[in-house]
Amino acid sequence: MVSGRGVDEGVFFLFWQGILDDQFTQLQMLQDESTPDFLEEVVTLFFDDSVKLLENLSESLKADPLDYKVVDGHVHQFKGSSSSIGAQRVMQVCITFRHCCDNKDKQGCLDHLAKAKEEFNIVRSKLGKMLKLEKKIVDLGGVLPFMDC
Amino acid sequence: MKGKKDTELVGLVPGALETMRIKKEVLELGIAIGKEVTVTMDGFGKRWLVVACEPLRNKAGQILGVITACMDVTEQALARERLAQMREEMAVREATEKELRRAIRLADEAMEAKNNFLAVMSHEIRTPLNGVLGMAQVLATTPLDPEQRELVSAMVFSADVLLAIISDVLDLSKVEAGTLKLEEKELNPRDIVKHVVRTAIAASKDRGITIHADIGDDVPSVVYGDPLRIKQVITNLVFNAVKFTRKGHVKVRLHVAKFSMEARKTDLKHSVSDSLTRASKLESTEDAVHMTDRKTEGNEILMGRSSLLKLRQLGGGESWDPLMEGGRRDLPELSVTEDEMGDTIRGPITGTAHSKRLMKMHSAGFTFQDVHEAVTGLSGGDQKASTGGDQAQRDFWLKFEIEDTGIGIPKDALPTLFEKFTLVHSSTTRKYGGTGLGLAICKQLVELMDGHISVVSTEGKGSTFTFTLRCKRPPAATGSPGSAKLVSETKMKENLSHSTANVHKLQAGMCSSLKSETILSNLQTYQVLDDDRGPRRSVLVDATSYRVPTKLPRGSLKVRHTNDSDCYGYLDDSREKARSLEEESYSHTASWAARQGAWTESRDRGGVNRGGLRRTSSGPSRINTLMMADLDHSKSVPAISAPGPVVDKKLPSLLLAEDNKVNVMVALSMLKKLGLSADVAYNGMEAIRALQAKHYDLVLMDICMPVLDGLEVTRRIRRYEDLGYWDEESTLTPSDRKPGSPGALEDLPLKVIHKQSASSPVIGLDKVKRMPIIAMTANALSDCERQCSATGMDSFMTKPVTFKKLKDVLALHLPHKSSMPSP
Repeated sequence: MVSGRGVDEGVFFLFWQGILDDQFTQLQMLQDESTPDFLEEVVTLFFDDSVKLLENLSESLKADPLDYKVVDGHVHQFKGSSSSIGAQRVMQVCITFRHCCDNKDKQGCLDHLAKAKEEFNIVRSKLGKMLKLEKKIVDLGGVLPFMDC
Repeated sequence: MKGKKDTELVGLVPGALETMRIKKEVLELGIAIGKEVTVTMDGFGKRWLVVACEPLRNKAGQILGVITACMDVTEQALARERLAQMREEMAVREATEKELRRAIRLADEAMEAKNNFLAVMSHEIRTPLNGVLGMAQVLATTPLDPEQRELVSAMVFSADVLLAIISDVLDLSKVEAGTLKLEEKELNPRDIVKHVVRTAIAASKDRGITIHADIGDDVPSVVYGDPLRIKQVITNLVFNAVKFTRKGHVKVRLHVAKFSMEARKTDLKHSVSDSLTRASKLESTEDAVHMTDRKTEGNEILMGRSSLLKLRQLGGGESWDPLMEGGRRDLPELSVTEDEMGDTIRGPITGTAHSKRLMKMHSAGFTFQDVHEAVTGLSGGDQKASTGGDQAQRDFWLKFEIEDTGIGIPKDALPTLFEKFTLVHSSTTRKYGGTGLGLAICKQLVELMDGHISVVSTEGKGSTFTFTLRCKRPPAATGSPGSAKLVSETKMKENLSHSTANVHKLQAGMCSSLKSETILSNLQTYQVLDDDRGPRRSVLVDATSYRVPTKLPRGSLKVRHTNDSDCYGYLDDSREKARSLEEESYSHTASWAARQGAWTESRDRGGVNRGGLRRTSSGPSRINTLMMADLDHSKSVPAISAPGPVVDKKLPSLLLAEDNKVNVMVALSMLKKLGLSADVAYNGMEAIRALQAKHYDLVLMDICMPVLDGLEVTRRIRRYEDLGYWDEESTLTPSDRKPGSPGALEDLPLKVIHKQSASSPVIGLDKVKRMPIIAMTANALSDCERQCSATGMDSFMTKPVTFKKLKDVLALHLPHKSSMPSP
């Protein structure tokens, strides 16, 4: 059984746990009849872009000598895209990641990279599933509830 | 006493001693004295005397003697005592009243606090519970083994029951607190009954009972009332009936109750609980009340304001029927029942006659049924026709009866049936489930709607619940008959208390899985005048909102999301926008700025709730969402008329300088929502090249960009504007430009390059008009803002960019004058 309510409750939980913030609702608002796949497209773009950014970050942190400006540039990008999507926890990790770059703290950078990957995987997993379920519901002719949080 | 001295009288005459003392005092003091003396006289009892004594003086002023007068003031004294007593009693009474008022106030406050507590806690409990339920439902869609599936079903069931209980508690507390507001709008009572019956049939198809509806021909299809609450009551009663019926049938009857409003006013207002309370007090009536001849003096007809309740039991152990009104028509009448049309009782003050009543005797107990007649005036030909006004003629009563052949209700349970938290029997609860709130809610709702609810039941045979509701017929049609469409329940998603219905279904074993049902609440209807196309009905739903799947045709339910400044011409809605965007042409008569004027107009016209962003305790902001359903399915353009023809048909030309693809996509989508588009430059140099190639009305400039950052680009732009041309420095390729960085303008993906109007040639030495440049940065520090300002930027937007921020800044900086509509 596919339940629109399940989708709604799932997204609600992502808000509840702080994984997503208000910005995600901004994106939901942008989806309508003329752009029915907008949310899926932008989230997919974020996922793909972030995978590349994280790879770039890993590579840049392996460089010797370490160029913190380059690292910071990647983190800045990641922070920007995660904040545009509303991936709040990812964004917060990026903020503190940048402090490590400013302080030229290599270990801190490495720890934050691990944390950023972890948070990104959480968002990708949960949000990805929600979007798939949403698509399934819509394809079956269901209606998606959009709950006030 | 004459000739005797005072001393001789003491002991003989009551009061003599006191009189003697007074005289002595007067003689000593030389002043007049008056005193009240109480004496007890044989044969007279206690008497009050006033003794007045004054000295008698000669011309020289010497006291010669005293003059004494004595007056009986017993009556006055007694009156005085009585007055004092009364005053004392009054003081006591006032103190008691004060105490009572205080107690009432405390009780009211406690009740209010309790209701508020319930409301808040119910909401707080319900919110995460929805989450639990939702997750359980999602879990149910994943691959599970049979045991897991059963466990998940149990979880879903329990959560749903809990949700239903909380909803009921919340509803009840709202009604009691007086915060539940009824709506008055058009509804089709036939549709409501049919829908509930259909739902009940679907839910109980395996139970082997028949469920049908019997709707009178006289029931109108359009009345005014609160469809949500009416449906809630019917659903509760029907699903209760189904729950307690294992074989036989459940029948729902609907017809118009035949009596006038005048009669209703005078004598029919009584509460179920009052009557049931009286009924319960008539403990001995089973023995005491006997049906005799149906003569007026022995007649069991009950009249008058309290209108009830002589209850009678016929035969051995048959049904108990504490009914108010309505009755079972399916049971045979006894031959003794007729010949009752006699009495008319004059009302005490108004003189209006009460309606006549019939009482029919049935073998299964008796019921009390109104025979409704028009109000008559005073006897003796002074009859007043119940003409009423137009209002009275519009008002009428609908009568709903839900009859079942279920287990029935024991007679001792009837008096408290409609009270909160009362269940017939704990064993019933165990078997059938229930919280004891459903009937209490039904009663409250029915009475709130100025109606009455009652029950007739025979244990082991079944029950009939009856309720009447006051409804209004719509006024005579104004305007073109076909233009206003009824907001039909079948066309709208119902705000059924679906949890309650589901609980009933589940508890009665009707279904094992839940369908997701959409829920709407707070329906409001208003009429949107559509220029010259006559009235059109639109429905605003403010509550849980829904995203509409794309398969829905236009004119169906749509989702409309708003924030606090955005109701941008929803009536000039996405149909219009989609059309214009598809054409990729802004040759529409309204320019962007003119459209914005129209947005303002539509926003004010619609009366839409544009509640803004606000934080809730659960964290995320709350955005009020509105959904508007255009049920007219009119092909016409929505209400907002486009402004008059404008001179400049071109939309503003925007440049977005942003290196982050996700940000670009989001920003472009937001601009598209605003009816705009933008060219994109992925770094500073590309931005410069774009500006060299074309004139832009505004630039949205990211600060942190590769190759050339936003601050540097801004400096170069301002230099260009001052000089009137692009100097060499402005066009220098930065030495640290890395290969592989996002390409030049010509390499930009086609999709983000929108069709442009005829380019303006690069302006030569003429002074260039200043172009607004809006900074976009994640850095919210004031230093950054100062830096942006110093460089020549006009506005500052922090990231992430929201729709509101973007709209506001564009409204502020985009040129208006050439594109404003003429008044």
